Amino acid sequence: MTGVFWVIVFSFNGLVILYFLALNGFYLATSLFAYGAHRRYALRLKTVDLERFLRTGGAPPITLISPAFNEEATLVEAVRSLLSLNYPEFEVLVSNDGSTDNTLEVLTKAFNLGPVDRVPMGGIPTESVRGTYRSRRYPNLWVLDKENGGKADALNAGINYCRSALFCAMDADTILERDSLLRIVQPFLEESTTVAAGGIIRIANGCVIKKGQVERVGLPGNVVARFQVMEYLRAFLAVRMGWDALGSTLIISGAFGVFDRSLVVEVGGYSTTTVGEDMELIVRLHRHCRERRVPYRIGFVPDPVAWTECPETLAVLGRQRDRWQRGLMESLIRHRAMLFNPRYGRLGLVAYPYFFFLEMIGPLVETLGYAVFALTLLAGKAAVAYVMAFLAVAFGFGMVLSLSAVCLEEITFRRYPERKDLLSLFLIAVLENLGYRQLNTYWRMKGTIMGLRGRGGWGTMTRKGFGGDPA
Amino acid sequence: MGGPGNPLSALLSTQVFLALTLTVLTLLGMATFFAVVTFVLRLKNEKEDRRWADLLRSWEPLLLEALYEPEKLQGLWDSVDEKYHLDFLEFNLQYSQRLGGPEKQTLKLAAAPYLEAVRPLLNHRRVGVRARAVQTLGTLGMPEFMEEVKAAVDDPAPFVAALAARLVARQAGPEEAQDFCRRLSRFKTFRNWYLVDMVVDLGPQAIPAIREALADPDRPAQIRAVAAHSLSVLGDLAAAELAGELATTEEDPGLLASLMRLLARVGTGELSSAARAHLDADEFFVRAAATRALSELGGAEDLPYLVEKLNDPSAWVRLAAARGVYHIGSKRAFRALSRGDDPAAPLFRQVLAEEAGK
Repeated sequence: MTGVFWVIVFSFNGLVILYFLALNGFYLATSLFAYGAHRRYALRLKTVDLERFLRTGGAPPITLISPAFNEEATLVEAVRSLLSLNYPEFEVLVSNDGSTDNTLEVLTKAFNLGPVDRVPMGGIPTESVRGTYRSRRYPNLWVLDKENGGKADALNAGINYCRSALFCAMDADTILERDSLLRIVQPFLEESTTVAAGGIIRIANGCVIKKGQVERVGLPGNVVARFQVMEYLRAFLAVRMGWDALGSTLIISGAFGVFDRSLVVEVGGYSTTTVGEDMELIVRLHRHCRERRVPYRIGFVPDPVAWTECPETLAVLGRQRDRWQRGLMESLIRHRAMLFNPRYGRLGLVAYPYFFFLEMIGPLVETLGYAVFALTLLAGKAAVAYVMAFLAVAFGFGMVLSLSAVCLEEITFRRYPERKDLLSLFLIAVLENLGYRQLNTYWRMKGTIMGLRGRGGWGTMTRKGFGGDPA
Repeated sequence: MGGPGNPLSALLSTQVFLALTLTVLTLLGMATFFAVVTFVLRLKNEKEDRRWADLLRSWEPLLLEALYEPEKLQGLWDSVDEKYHLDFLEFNLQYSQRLGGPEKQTLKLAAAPYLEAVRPLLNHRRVGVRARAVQTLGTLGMPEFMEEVKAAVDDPAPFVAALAARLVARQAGPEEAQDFCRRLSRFKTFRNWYLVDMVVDLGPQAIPAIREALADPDRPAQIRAVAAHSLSVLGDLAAAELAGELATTEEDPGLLASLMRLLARVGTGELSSAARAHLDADEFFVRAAATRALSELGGAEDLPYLVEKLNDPSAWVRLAAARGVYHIGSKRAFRALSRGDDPAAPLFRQVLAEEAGK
């Protein structure tokens, strides 16, 4: 009996090692693909005459949909920032999702809103809209006031009232760089089959923000936020760019993405029954287009930047990661028919299995792996040196991936101009392996378990607002 | 891994341990490599920034002088070291995107002696380098390098080809316009917005060529739709009759919608029947475009058609119809209806709000 037990334990250890090799192998591969893609993008970017599009109005109209729930502290500044974007023709549509604070009043006062009738053009079912308001000062600013239904519902209401062919879904507290719309719209112009494109999200904590724009980029003073800077660099510059180069973008961040409105309406809008509505929509768009053999492209553009405030406490960060994991899980389980299904091409055969086994189930395997490893070690069944070497490999991989992302940042956008920030990033690449990554794994495992048990909600995010001094 | 005392396990354990140790060393080596490369890159980038700033400091005042007094260009040229020719073009290019008129001509003059250095880059294996070369020659070297830029319209990379086409469009005379319109099919993977913007760049002198493209049944429907849309942007009144005629024979929905847009912009009441013919088209966007066209062209006799469209299944058509009813019908009746409980009342209120906001 004991023999069988240890066979199981050793087999599991083998599985953990396999998981670990596969995960890091994928990360390394996407980083390599990302490298080539970034070089191509940087050269192309130089030849795009953004000013021209501004002058001639050659860019298509876009509606920015900003779902807001109890955002009275930050929304006015965020909306001001949106209104100052460089883009020939756009509308800002704030979807006030039944806020219980003074969000609507604050907006009304700041932008001189008045009730104006506007009929919905789409028919996605949503909670009822109580009223539509328009700014007397800025004719392109509209506010929908609706019953609470969650972020996805607020976005759907916005889509229903959107009149342009493209819409930009974003978070209410996101700060878009002035040229971000001009940049993100390029794939829609150059490739008629583009149905969605996502931009890069960067951490605003630590930056100097004035008049709704990031004036000076810097690293946050808060350690938790610093770790996230590194995570975002890795996730966007290396991983998402790499998947995009493979034509397998499965996630466009809910904080900043542009979509073809008619197609999103056709697929029924955002799902209101998942906390990962952003990913779920992308997976559904893939499925819809593949199943109907409609040529399409969903892409990632690494340059249009959306700045967002990240959590600075472990408690809030833990809730966020838990929710992200549940969102990922819900989307993947809902569309499990894609798993290893050749009908979905590279997406079904590579990207989907990667997310399913390595991102969804991975945290469970990893956490159990730590426990079983410890057990093996305690029972004297494995040499301490062996375990230490294995952990060193894990740390080494982590460092290599993070440092390669920092390298990509230096090759491409160099957003952190201070040399001391660069050195700090090196240090973070080392330190994040000593506890932070393990914590993340724990939160994600918790999310997986909560998801399996059908529990959890959105959680709350405490925001400091962008007006204050950098941390 | 494995119990002590088992020789196979021990061997395995040793080998695995060795492998792990080697992996750790490799990873540490890679990590160090990335860190060093990044840091060296930073130093290099900083040096490059300083070099560029120095160049700007030396060229900018001379260029600004030359922009006011072109005879001072010699001073500027004297300051350009041989190894900085391409940098100088880059510098000029940045300015040229912000300047126009005589200043741009001076910039072109300033760049002229160095443009030959760009020619070989037109055949570079990297798309981005070719694109930049096309952009440099197309912006600073026209009309001297027109042939080279025109040739780039056939570049295998659609992005380079489109860039070249745009640059040609800006400089094109009537003859080039015709050639340009013939080659538009090359860009059918691009979105119509982009193509329309490109065609409109040709300017009014290209209208006959664009009209010819619209009339030609052998061209792809998408290109003809782009032509129709472009003519509506250019406000070509003489295209109205052609649009009316084509609207009765063509079947492609995209083309029909563009024709309706053209009719709405330049058509006359006599052509309203062409719009009426498509009020019940299968595609909602054709119905909406036809309704908009009828709203512009129609008279009181068309009011019943528009009223009927207030019940169309598509909200886009209903809104277009409501705008039409306001445009053609009695404003007083419209206001009265907007206050009632008619299902179309919210649409009417929206139209009134839009009108008030104009």
